[in-house]
Amino acid sequence: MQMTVLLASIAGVVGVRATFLIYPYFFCPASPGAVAACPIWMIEHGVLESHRGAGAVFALIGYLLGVILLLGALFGRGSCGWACPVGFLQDGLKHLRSTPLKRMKPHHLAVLSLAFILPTLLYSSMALGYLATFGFYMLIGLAIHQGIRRRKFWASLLLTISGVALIALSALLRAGVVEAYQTSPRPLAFFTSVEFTGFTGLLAALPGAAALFLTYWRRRAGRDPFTLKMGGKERIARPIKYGILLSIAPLSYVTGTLAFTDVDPIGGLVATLPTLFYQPELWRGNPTFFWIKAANTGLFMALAVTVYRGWCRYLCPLGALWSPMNRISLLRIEFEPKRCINCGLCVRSCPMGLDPRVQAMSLECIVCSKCVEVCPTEALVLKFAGRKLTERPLRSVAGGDEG
Amino acid sequence: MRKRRILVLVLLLSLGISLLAASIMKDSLNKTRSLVRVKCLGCLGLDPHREEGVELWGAYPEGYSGSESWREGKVPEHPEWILKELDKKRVVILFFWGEGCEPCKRQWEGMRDLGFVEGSERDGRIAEGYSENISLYSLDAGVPEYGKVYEIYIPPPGEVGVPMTVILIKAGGEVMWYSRVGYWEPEDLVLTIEEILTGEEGGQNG
Repeated sequence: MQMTVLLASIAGVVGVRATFLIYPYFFCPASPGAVAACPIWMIEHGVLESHRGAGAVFALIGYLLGVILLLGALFGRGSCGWACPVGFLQDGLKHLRSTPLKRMKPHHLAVLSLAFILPTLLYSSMALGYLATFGFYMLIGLAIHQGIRRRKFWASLLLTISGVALIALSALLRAGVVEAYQTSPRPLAFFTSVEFTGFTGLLAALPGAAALFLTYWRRRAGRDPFTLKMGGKERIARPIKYGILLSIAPLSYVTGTLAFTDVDPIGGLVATLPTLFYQPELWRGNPTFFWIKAANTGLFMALAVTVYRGWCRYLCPLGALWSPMNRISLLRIEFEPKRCINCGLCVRSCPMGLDPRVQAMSLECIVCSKCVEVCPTEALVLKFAGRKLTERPLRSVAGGDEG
Repeated sequence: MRKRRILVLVLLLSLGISLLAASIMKDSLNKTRSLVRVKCLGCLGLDPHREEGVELWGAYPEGYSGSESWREGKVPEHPEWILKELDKKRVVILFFWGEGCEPCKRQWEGMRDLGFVEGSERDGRIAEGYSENISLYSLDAGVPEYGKVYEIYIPPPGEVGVPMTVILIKAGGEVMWYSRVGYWEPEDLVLTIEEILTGEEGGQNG
């Protein structure tokens, strides 16, 4: 589902023209092939239109609120769980070792990643830019996976060293000590550019260093470093996203810029990198926000592997915008206490770290229904307008498939 | 509890539909589409600088794919008001910008510091010293009306974004133009215009 949504989001790659639609999830309209607007970006543009009068502001903000109320009333925060490509990326990093990737060896993944990246060396296009980006993230994900999940010290060390080496190369290129590869095909020149080496260096070095630190932490404290246990800090961390959401409009108004969009890491993931892959010649000057964006993207990657759906839990302003709609939405997860045998499978499966028995449809629930899938007694049920959406035979707890 | 939830749901659905209807009447759909169409390269952290020279085009160059009419097999025509302006002045400059576009602001302020333009990009005009030969229009690419003009001048290979600077001249009765997406170093831009005004128009200008 999320993959289909991702492909639909970049339908411009196959010639679909810009539409008046708004993505109900976090996706950058400046991405190559993007065909709709981002809700957060609509808020910023609405604020920046204020000099044209209330009508101009209403045209954008009123439209956005209408869409949010309409879709929110139907699906609540469901788009985070069912459609969001950023959620998909985070799920991918989490489930890197689950089927079908479970049977794959790390070198298989490395070859697969390179198979995505290499075609861009021969031909540069938007679609290949996305493939290359996907491969690039797979490589980083693989290194992070080996470093953090498998606690392979060598992988984190290799990632950190290669990242630092790339940053050093970037600095040498910038200083003119070494020269970039100048000939065609153009992606080759891009791979040796100041920007690419710096960007990838940061993307590798930051999670690598985080992995090293977490491995060290585990050895010292004897705890699994992969899952960053937030414990009581969750209560403090989760409201951050509401703070981010509330700060977007004032920041845009005061600075007169797309303040959040300029630095947000999701733009770096789905827009900046694919654009650089397919149009590497686009930019040769001093970046306005590039490095802040790159650093934020690196931090996003680090968060994605240390806390499952960490972005959704703590930082995503769009999730914060959708969350109140969970209270009334037609798509609901309902809990029937009489059927519950307290096996705890639902708690372990929840990507948002909730206890679905008491927190299903709370502000934090993304209605992904993973708890419904694993519940062996159908104590948790997914319903739309009161009608049950999941019908399946009951399973025993012992033989239950954990998804 | 359930009844109250349904009541709130119905109220919010009605409010959502009303907001949608009212905003559509305020032209929200066209406005949104125009904003999506123009890529914000500055907020990508990708703000293209071009170092190559300026090549004025007499016809739409190879690889041009910008406007809708071109995709439908028709050659887009220069808007009438631009042609009229070219009859009066030697050079017409279109400066396309967007709301919140940092590089647009930077380029405009750079041109103002050089004494080439006056005011802000919202209500900008050519400075008095240049106004005899040059007409300058500062246009918000997100406004549907200007968005259509923007589309006509998207340079190959269909590269979109703001700022976009278009130079138009009339040489030997033929309209020639050049457009550039991304930040244009104000000194280079002014130098290019001065070279055109001193008689180098119509060919390759460095």
